[in-house]
Order: sequence, then C-alpha cells, then structure tokens
Amino acid sequence: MKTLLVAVDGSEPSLKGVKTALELARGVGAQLELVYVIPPVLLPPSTYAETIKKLEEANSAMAKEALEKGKAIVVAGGAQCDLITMHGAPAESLADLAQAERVWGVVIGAKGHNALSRVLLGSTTDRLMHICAKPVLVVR
Amino acid sequence: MKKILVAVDGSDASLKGVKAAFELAEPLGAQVTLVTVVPPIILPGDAPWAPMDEINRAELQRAERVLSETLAALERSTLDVSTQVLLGPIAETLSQLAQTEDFDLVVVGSTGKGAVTRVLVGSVADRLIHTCLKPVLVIR
Repeated sequence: MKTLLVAVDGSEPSLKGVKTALELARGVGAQLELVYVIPPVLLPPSTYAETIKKLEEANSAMAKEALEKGKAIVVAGGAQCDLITMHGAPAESLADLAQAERVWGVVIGAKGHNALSRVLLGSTTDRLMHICAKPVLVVR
Repeated sequence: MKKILVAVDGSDASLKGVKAAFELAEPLGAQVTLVTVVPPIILPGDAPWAPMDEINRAELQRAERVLSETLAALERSTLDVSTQVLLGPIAETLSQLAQTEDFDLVVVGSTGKGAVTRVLVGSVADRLIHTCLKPVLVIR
C-alpha cells in the first residue's frame, strides 16, 4: 500500500488522527506523511514589513511545533514519517497534495484548532470531504 | 484495527467502499461486517390502511438482496465477512452499531442512492461523520 497523508494542526483531534493513522499504516504497511498547512493571512497593505515577518516566523514556529508533536507519536510507536509544511487554504492544499499518485488517502481530525467547541465538525474537515478525490478518514 | 463496518446501499460509491474495506482488511486481518440500513417509512397520519408490515417486510427483503448482490459483485476472498440488515434512521443506526459493537472503523461511500448527482457528499456520509464517535472513512 501507498502513503497516508495526515493533516496535523497540533490540536487534540488532529493528534488522535495521527494515532489512528499510525495504527492503520502499521497494519497495512503504508508510509505516513504529516502535513501542516499555514493559511494565508490577509493584512491591510499598510502593515509594516517587520510585522509580516514576525507573523510568518510565528506561523512557521507553530507549524514546526505541531508537526514535531505528531512525529513524536509516530516515533513512539516505532514507525517513521515525513513532515510537510504547505502554504495556502488548508482543505484545498490537502486535496491538491492528495492528488499525488503515491497517496492512498487523507486522515484528518473531526475538528481542529479553529472550531468552536460546540461545533461538531471543523470547517477544514467538512470542506476536505467535499473536494478530496481520495478517501478521507475522519477521526473524532 | 480488527473490526470494520461497511455501509452498503447498492450504489456504486458503496461498492467502492466495500472494495476499499476489503483492501484494508486483508493486510489487517480484520473482520468485515456489511450493513444495510432500511430507513423508517413515514406515511401521513391519514393513511392508517397502509400495510406497514408488508412494506417493511419487502424493504428488509430488498436490503438482503442488496447485500447478496454486493457480495456477488466482489471477487471471492478469504476474509471473514458477515452481513446484517437493520431498521432505523441510517446514519444514527450505523453510529450506534459502531459504538455498541466496538468497531474500529466505519467505511461509507461519499454518495449513496439518495444523493442528487451534483451533491458531492451524500447526506448519510455527512450525517455519519457528524454523529459517529468511531473513525469514519469516506470513499468517493
């Protein structure tokens, strides 16, 4: 079997998704790729370059931290994974990456950081379900 | 992952779902349960003459036929496969079964019989990922 993409944003459901993906990947002999997508930030044109730079640095640091958290789970389970950081709209970026020949499907938490606690399904997950051409595994 | 539940309604997407489930179950050595749920038929209150027992019986028979046709459409495998027919609201009944019988994974086709073709994700798949506490794999 091929590769499973795992959407990771560092949130609790996304880390649960890593655990489920790991279990599945070990069972079927698949590769794991953890993906963090940094969404575009819309700023007024008058924003200082310095502010933008700081924001980008903060985003990269968050991506790294989230991916490392995910990787730690995979490594603790005695497996390996690749880490990928992308820039763009989260669901669209994941769906694009899933188009790759090597990808069997995408694993994603039912909700990420942005979802209000009373929302049952995150917007990225919902959107991905609708646009992804490959199987999507939703983990709660 | 030892127990996989697959929702079957006889649609192309559900057949794809069964194939994907088999593909995963083989290396996992998992047990596969194919389930067809017959939704309750709601008739207007002024139709007390409706032969409900007969209608339900016919629907349950149809469900059995869908399951045997699905199995017939697949290549023979060495997998441990069982089938089940249930009566109730589709997504809720599947969620409940997944919970009470402790399935590790629920597989569902993205569009079933009921979906209008232009709708990308069927209402059952959509409802299932909102209500099911177990991982749900949506196959397009």
